[in-house]
Amino acid sequence: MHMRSDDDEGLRRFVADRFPRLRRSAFLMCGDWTVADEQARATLARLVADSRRGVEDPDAYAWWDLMRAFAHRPGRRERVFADANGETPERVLLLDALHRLAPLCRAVLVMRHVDGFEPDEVADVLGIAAERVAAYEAAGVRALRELVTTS
Amino acid sequence: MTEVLVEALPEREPPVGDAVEDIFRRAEVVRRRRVRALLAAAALAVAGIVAVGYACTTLLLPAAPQRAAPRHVPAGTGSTSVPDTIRPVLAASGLRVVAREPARGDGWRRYRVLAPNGRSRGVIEISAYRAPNGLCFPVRGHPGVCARPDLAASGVAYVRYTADRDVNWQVNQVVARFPDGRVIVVQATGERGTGSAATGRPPLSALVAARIATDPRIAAGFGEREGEPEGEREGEGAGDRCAADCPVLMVPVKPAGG
Repeated sequence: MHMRSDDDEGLRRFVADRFPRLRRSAFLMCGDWTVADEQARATLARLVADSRRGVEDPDAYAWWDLMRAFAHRPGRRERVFADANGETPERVLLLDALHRLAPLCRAVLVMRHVDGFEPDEVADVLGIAAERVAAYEAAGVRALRELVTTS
Repeated sequence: MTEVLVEALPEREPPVGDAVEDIFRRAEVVRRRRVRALLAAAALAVAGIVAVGYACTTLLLPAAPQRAAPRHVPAGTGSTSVPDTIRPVLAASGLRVVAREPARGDGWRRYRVLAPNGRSRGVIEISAYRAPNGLCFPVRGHPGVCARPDLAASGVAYVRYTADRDVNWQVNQVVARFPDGRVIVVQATGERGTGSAATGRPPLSALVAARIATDPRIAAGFGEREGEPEGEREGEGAGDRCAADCPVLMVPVKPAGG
């Protein structure tokens, strides 16, 4: 999908469709809806600005920009518990377990199992080899299961 | 695992609200910021190029050549090392004088006189010669004829010369000979080519020029050996012709036996 700013209507539809998805992924990466909302808006704003020069793959661009923002940001577990008001204990513990993982491992799990990207797409977006994507995914799933079962 | 991760998402998400409009507003801000950054980078690049160019021209290119020192200075006379004590004497006479390049050489000094408004009033040239065996004060246009000098109170003999027929070249000159054989010539030339007798009048009257020429402080302002005859001067009058920038006198002096 190629995107240019002269297709304003198509651009608006894309933004309206992707914003909730991006915000969810951002929330899983940081555990904070406020931060997730801000990061998703900033990512899509950069995408819209760059669409003037043409963006070859807007989805890859958006997730690349989003995950880059969280690449070196550790999970904020304290935020998970602070915002747990009204959530079930299982969901809180699951989110906490996710935030115990390394950022890159968490990003692989989110992109693969929530956003539905293929392993090679994840590798392209995150800038790592496909083999490493598989390794991160296997290690992440294993660690997450252990964390969930021991919580 | 997919189901497990999706379960981590809260059931109630914050409302989207005007996110789409806000995103497009932010995009416009991003675009403007990028344009400003681009312009700033371009300005910085231009400033950098200018700075590098300036540095190259000032550091790499040789400095502007200094005006050559007067070739007329013989070794040992040290004329340039002699402090200028003449200019204060002229200033004490109420003249506003500045050095006029070429300003000095062996046995001569040159000054420009300025009016209160900064306009040039002309040039004063003072030169020193040696006439230990006497001096025939010249009569202009009559070689071999000697003028009868006036005698100042200090025993200095002097003759005044004035040329004011040509309004574009008006000169007052005084030749003074001290008892020790030293000759001081003061030549005051008005601004040339003015077309006006008043504007082109010499900055010194003949009377004032005589007072300056006979002032012992003026003679003392030259080095001990300044103005001694040189080989190139032999056989011709001093101030008649110069190898360098020394004053060309309206009335050249010719020391007797020099």
